[in-house]
Amino acid sequence: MASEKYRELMEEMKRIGRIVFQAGLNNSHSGNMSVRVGRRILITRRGSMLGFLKDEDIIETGLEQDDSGISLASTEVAVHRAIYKGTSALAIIHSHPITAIALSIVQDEIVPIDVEGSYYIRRVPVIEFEFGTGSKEMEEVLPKYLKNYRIVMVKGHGAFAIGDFLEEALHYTHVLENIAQITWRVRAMGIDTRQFEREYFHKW
Amino acid sequence: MKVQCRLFASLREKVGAKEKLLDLPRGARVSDALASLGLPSEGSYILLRNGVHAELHEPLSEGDVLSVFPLIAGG
Amino acid sequence: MAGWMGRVVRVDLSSGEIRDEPFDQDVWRRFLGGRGFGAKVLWDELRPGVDPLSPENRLIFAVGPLTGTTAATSGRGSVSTKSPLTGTITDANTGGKFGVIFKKAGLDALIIQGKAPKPVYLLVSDEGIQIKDASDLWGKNTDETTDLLLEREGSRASVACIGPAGENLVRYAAIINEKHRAFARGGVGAVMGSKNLKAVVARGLRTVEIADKERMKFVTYEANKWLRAHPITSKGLPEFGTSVLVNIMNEAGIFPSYNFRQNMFEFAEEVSGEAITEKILVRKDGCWGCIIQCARRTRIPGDEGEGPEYETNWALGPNCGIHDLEIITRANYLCNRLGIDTMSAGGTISCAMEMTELGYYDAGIRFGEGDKLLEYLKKIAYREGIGDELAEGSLRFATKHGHPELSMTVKGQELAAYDPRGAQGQGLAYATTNRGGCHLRGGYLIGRELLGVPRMIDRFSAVGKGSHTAILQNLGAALDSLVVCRFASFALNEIVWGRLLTAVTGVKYDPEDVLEAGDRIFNIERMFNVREGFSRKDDTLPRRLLEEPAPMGPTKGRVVELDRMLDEFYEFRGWDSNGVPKPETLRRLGLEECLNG
Ligand code: SF4
Repeated sequence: MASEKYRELMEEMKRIGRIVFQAGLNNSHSGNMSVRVGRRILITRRGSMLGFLKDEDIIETGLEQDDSGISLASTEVAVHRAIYKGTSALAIIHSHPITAIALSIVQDEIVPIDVEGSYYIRRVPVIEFEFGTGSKEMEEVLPKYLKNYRIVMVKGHGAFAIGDFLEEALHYTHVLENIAQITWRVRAMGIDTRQFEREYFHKW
Repeated sequence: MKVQCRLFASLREKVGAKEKLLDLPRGARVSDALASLGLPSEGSYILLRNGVHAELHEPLSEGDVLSVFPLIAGG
Repeated sequence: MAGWMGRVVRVDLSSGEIRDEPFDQDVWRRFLGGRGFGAKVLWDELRPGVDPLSPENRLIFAVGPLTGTTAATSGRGSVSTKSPLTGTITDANTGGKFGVIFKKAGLDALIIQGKAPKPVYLLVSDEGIQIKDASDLWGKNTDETTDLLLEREGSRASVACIGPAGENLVRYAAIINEKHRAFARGGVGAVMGSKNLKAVVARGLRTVEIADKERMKFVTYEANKWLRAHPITSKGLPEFGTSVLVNIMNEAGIFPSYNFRQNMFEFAEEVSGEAITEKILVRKDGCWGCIIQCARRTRIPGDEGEGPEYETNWALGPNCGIHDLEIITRANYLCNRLGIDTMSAGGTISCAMEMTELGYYDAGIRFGEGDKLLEYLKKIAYREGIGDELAEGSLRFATKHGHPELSMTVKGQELAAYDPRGAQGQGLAYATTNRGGCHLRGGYLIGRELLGVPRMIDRFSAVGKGSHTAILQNLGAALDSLVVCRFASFALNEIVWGRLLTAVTGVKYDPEDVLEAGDRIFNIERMFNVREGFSRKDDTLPRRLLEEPAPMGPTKGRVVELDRMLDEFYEFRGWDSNGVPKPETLRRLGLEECLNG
C-alpha cells in the first residue's frame, strides 16, 4: 500500500478506476493506471479490479528502480516508468476499449469523423509490436509516440493515455472509444467513413 | 432552508441580480440551487460553497453561501 | 530561413559599434527565442557578481519563431537582463505590437551592452540600425517621448521607452511600449536608463517566412477553433478583462489586502472587473492580431488610457487599502507615464504604509491614502525625499529600517495578487521563480488550484504540487520564448504549440520537445542564479506567509507548507536538496555549457 500522505491521490485513483470500468473501457480485471509524484509512482496492483480498487491495490514504487512491493505491481510497471521518464506525464491510464481495439486491428490510425471527437483528438496512431505487450520493445517505442500524442493505440491490444491528471487521461480514452463507436456505427450502415475524415487530420 | 447565492460576471445579467436568498427544501444540492436561479447545470461554472470549491451533487446546508462564477481567468 | 529571421545584432553603446552576430541555428533551436535566447546570452556573457546597473550588463530584446505569424497571441516581445531589483536573471514580456514590428525590422534579437556617453535612442529598421541622439527626450515621460519619436520616425514605427523612473534608476522601472503596454518587472527600465538609452524604436515591413504554409493554415484553424470555443478565451477574458478575478479570489479568501495583513478585502466589489465594466470601460482592446482582446480601454474624469489589469489594480488598490477605482486607474496611468512597474510600486508603498501603521518607521503614508499614493509615485520616479528610499524596492527599504519581514517579496521582488496560504502550489511557485516574486514565471498554479483549468486540484493540499509547478514552469518558459501570451494557454496545450512551431520553422518539434525546451530554459536560468549564489535558502517566502495563519474566511488558519513541497519539486526537477541542478539533469537537457562552467 502507498504511503498515507498520498491519500488524496489514492482516492482519485479509486474514483477514476471506477469510471474506467463502468464506462466499459476495461473488463473486470484488465488495464492499469498510475500517477507520478516527484520521483515516486503509485500504480495499481497486478490483476487488481480497477472498478473496485482498495488501498492495498495501490502500490508505491520509485521512478528509477524497484523497491518495496514491486513484485505486486502491474506487470507493465516498466512501461509506465519508461513513459514517465520519456515524457512530462503525471498520470497514465492503460485501457482496453473494445471498439477502438477492433478498429486498431484493421487500420493504422484512427481519426475522428464526429464534431465532439475532433475537438479533443485529431489523430491516434496505431502501433504494432512484434513481441507483444510488456516487452522491452514497448518500453522503447511507446514513450516516443507519447512525446507526440497524448493517446496512442497498440494494435489489437489497447490504449495508453497520458496527462497531467488521471481525469485528463480518462477523458482522452473515453473520447477515443466514442470516436471508434461512431465510426463503426456509420460503417455498419454500409457507408464509407473516409469521406467524412478531414484530410489534414492524417497529417496532424 | 436558506442559502445565500452570490452571482458574478456575466451571470449577474443572466439572473438579473447580484445576490439572491434562496429558500430550498432540506437536502437540496448545489445543482438544485442553480436550477432555482434559472442556470442550466450543464454550463461551466466555478462554484464556491462558503469559499471552498464545490461539486454539483454536493448537498447544501442552512446558512450556506454559494458563489457562482462563469469560467473565468486572468492574472 | 523560416520562422526565425536569422539575424542577431549587437550594439555597444560605449563605443558606438553596431555589428551582426553569427546566427547560431543550434542555439535558436534549443532555446527557441525570446526569454530562452536571452537566458542563453546572459549565461554565456555575464561574469558572476556583475552590477546590473553597470555598462557590463546586457539588455537583450528578443522575439521568437512564432512572433508576427498567424499563430494565436503572437504579437508579443521579450527583454532579458540581470535584474537590479533581485540580482537574479530576469525577463519581461510585453503585449501591444512592439515585438511584431521589431521582427518586421528583420531581427530576432538585439543585444545591448555598454553605456552611451550621452542620452541616445536606437532606431531598429529594415533599412538599418542607428544610434541617435536623445538629449532632448531625456526627462520626458513615456507619452511625450512616444509622441515625439513617432513624429520623428514615422507613425508606422513602434516605440519602447523609459520614463523618468528608468532615467533615475528606480530599481523597478519598466519599459513602456505604445504608451500603455509594459515590459514591466524586474527593473528592466533601470538597466536601460543606466545605459543612457531612452528608447528603442522599431520600424519595418519584412514578413516572416513560413516553412509549411499548408500545415500552418490548418493548425491555425484548429487553434482558433479552440480559442473561440473555450469559455475563458471566448467569454471570460474578453467580457470583463483580467480584473474579473477580484471577486473570485476574494470569495475564496486568497485576495490579499493591506500588505497581506488580510487575505480578503472588504471593498473588493468596488474594484472588481464588474465595476470596471460598469464605471470606466470605454471599449475592449488587445494586442496585435489577438482574437481574445482582454485589454481594457478606460476613461476617468480628465484622462484616458488602458487598465487597470488585475495585478495592477490589486497592487495599487487593495494591497494599499485603497478602494477608489478612479484613483487606482489614475495611479495606473501615472505609473505608465513615469515608467514604473505597478506591482513593485504598489508592493513597496504598501510596505511603507504598514511600517508607518505599526510605528516602526514613519514613512508619512498610511493605508488607504489614495491622494498620497499618486504623490508618492512621483516622488519615487524622481527619487525625491522618501521616494529615493522607496525607489530601492520594499526589501531594501524595510531592511534598512529593521523590518525585512514586512517586505512581501521573494528574492527581493514584490508578490502578486494571490495569497498562497490558500493556494499551496502558488506558494511553491512564488518561492521558486527564477526572477523573484511573480505569479507567472513560477507557474500559474492558480489556474489549477482555483479556476479549474484544465482541471481542479485541491488548493489546500501540499501533495503533488512540486510536480505540477515544475511542469507549468517549463511550459511557461517555452511560451515566453516562442513568444506567445500566457492567456492563450488556458485554451491551447503543448500539442498545438508544437504543431505551430513545426509548421513555422520546418523543424520537427513534438509537444514534449516544446516542454523540454522550456525545461532547458528554466534550468539555464537557474544555473545563472546558482552562479550568482542563489540556492534553497532563497527559495522561500515572506515570514508572514510561512508562520502567520491567514486571518479570514475559507483560508483562515492556514500557512504555506513550503518545505514539503520544495523537496518534491527538487526531486521532480532532478536538482539536489540544495536546489542545484544535478549534472545528469543538465546532460539530459543538453546543457553542456553549464557543465564546464
Ligand atoms: S490575450 Fe490579452 S494580453 Fe494576451 S495577447 Fe491577447 S489581448 Fe494581449
